[in-house]
Amino acid sequence: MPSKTFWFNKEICMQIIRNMSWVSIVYFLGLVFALPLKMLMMHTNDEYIYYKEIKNPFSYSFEIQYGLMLIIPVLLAIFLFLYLHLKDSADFLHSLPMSRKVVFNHYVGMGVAFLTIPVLIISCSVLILRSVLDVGMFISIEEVLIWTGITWLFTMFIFFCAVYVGMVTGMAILQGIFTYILLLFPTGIVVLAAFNVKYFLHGFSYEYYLNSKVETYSPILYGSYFEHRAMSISAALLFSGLIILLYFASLWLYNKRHIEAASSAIAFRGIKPIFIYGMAIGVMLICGMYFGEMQNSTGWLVFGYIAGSLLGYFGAKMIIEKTWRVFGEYKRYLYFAGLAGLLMLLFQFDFTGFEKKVPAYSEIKQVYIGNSIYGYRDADALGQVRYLREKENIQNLLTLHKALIKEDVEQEIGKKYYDDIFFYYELKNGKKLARQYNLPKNNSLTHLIKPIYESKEYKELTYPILTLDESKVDKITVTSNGPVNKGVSITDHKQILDSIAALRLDLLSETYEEMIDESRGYSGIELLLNNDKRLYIEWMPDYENFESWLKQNNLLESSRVTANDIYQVWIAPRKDIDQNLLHAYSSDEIIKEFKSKKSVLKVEDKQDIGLVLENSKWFSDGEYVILFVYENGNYVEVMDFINNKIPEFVTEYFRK
Amino acid sequence: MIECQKVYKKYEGNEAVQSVELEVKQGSIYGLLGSNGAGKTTLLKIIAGILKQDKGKVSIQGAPVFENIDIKKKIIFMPDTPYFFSQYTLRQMANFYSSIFPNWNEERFQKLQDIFEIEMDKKLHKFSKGMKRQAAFWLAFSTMPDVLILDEPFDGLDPVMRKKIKNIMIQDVAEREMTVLISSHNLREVEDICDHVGILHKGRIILEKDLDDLKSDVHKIQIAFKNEPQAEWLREMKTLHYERRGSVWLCVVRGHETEVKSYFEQYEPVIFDMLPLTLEEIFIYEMGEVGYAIQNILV
Repeated sequence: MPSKTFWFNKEICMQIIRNMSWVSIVYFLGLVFALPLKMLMMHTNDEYIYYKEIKNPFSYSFEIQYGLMLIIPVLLAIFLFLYLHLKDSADFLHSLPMSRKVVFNHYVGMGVAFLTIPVLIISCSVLILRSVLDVGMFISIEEVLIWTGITWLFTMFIFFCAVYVGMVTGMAILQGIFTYILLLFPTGIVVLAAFNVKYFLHGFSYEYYLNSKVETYSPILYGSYFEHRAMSISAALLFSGLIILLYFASLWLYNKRHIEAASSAIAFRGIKPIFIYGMAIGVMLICGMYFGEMQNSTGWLVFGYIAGSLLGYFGAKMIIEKTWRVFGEYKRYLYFAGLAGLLMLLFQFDFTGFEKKVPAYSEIKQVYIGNSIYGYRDADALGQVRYLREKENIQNLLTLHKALIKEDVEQEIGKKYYDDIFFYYELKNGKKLARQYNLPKNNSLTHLIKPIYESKEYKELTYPILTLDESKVDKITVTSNGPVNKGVSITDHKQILDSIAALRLDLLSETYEEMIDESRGYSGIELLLNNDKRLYIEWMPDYENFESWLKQNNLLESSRVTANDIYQVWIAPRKDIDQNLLHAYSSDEIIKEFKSKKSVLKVEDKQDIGLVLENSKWFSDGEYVILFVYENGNYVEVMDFINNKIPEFVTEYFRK
Repeated sequence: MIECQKVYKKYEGNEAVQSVELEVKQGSIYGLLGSNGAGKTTLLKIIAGILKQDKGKVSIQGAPVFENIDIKKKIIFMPDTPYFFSQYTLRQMANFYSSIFPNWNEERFQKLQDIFEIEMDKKLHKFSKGMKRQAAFWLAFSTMPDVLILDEPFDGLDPVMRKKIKNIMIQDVAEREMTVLISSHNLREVEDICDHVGILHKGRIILEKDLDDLKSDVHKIQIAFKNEPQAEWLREMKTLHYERRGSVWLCVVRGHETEVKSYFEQYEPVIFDMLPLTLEEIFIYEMGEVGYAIQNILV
């Protein structure tokens, strides 16, 4: 019965165990450290407060578990198939009377065993410890079984990815590198594409395409959420399917593989162009993104593309040919560069009509408007997205959108601070349209934006507090900004209702100019709802109703920095002050600098201090520099006047 | 037994083996000669079923070798640097071989202990080059192969050990018609055991010979005359080489011994000696210009 023995050869398994089982042992020890040992450590320390963080077995040293899941299977695959990547051993194993399929199955089978056994042992020991240490209330048996399943399936998937890559390449180190690139690829390519298309399509909202799902495309990133989100059934099925697919693909490649491919970068000739042009495209997009984001200029962007494509193309050739001298064959690079340039030009000239597309009023069901997709998504997660639906608002918005397309305000990037503006149209036919533009402050489009921002609908969309069911608010906490320890809590039901009403009045009467000015908020207002959710809003100086409500209730003094907290204020023309000193750590030095100037204005009158306080914003680049010296301790703050809000007494003083 | 038909293989961009025709009969020892980079190793690996030829056919006992398990059970390929699993002792390697090769002969393995001076339970990677080589032969002989393919097998072996190994090899060939294919860059190393040689040069077989024929057919003759014959006196003979040193002629000719003898005797020489030729000399004379190109194989 000789043929039977060749299907399972004990000696081969022994050889694999002798030389490779250490990976399995490291895995096992790592898991022991992460789970059973950690459970014991927590038990003996009586760290009961930490138990509430234990949701499932992943919660024990998840960083270690995650690291093991990513590293061990790849390491194992590299060591198992090292024989295939070294000439001597590859020749030896393939001179033996064993079919490639049998050899492959022995190695892969042992790999599976090496990854499975530690997980099973740990799983059993966690089950035992769970009852012995009495932590059953934190971890159910079901959770342990789910942990076992997820850990096993995920490591299997990573292992088979690495095996597959091992078939394609001939070098152990490249097997490791390519495996991680492959695992990051699905997310990476979407991110790169979105970032790069942004440079060519005015109005393209890359953030919209980089939705939160993108990160789950990459198994590596997907795995990082196991602590908080178990693998879904569909994902488990997908992983299982991929494992089977990878197994058969690897076996097929192994049968096709030339043994002499050991120690060459790519084992199959057909894959070499994919590798070369893939690298060229990948590195080109990465460099484009890097220089595009860092420099914000077309010149640098083009430089990034050229440098990146050169680096990628010739780098790949160097890896394949294992020599520096690859620059002789530049012809194909030129074809590639030409094609890439043409494609970019097509995008630049908007051949898809993307940039000019604006839906007609009659098509629109509703529109979300905000600074970015994130605001929409946060509201969506709570099921509280609000839209513009009124005819007037939508029409105003369409006018603004068209103006943004025409004006190409983006040219002002780099010269001024800007915000983004994001439109998300939902059309009557169910389609959706997302656009995002840069919106420089004080731009020529103010007259178009103002009516939208001041509309009730927009304010309701932007400030959840306006549409909130106020009866659900349990508590309001006002915490002062600045270096003072001030704050008030409002828990009385009537007071809560009144203060919310006051805030709402302020918000609804806020003008566009007030909405965008950069004044410093006095305090943070936090609304605690009865479902334990929290809502934040910044108390801005123009919220007069809220301020007077606090004053009536004798809460004003304790809820924000007032003139009483400030010992004195120094104001000096910017040109007189050493700018570097303003960033100094020592407040003494800054105070000394102000005191030493003749032109400086010292304010000690509390009313004047209050005036300055109301009209100051965070230090930027105005005509004057303001220095607040606080009463308590040695705190100073360097501020600036809000544009055109310089108090009379200051201008008068400096007019002299 | 071993048959190659128009075998072609491109190896790392070079045409390592080009249209090679080769036949090794059962029970013979074939020496594959060639300088470095001639393609010997590539050809041997193709014959051993490790590499797959791009074109042509390779068969052993009438069946293709590549991925043919039944054939490979009967073949041992010994590479130029013997390979053993890391950290393995000879005993462990033997266990491995015995599980893979159905003809493994444990009795013989034990017996060979008398010939090879190796400790079975010492780790092989600590051995010297020659010891590793001995271990490889020990294992190879114990599998009782029908075909033994050896790539530069005598590197690092001392003369005594070479002799012993060659003896075992010849014994196996004689007793059970083992077929041996040996590659070497040195003719002398193999001339005493080979019955056939082939010379591989730049991926092509440029010469294939039966050594016995070769040796009996080529003669070196020293001859001197009292009366010098006419200038073209040698034309009738198949002369591979001639030169004159003073009054003595030195000729290398091909032909049957008696015919050669009678031919020269008709000129009534004063001195007539028929000298044996070394294999090396035969090759150089036989091959003319190509011979010079591959001289380093023969030295």
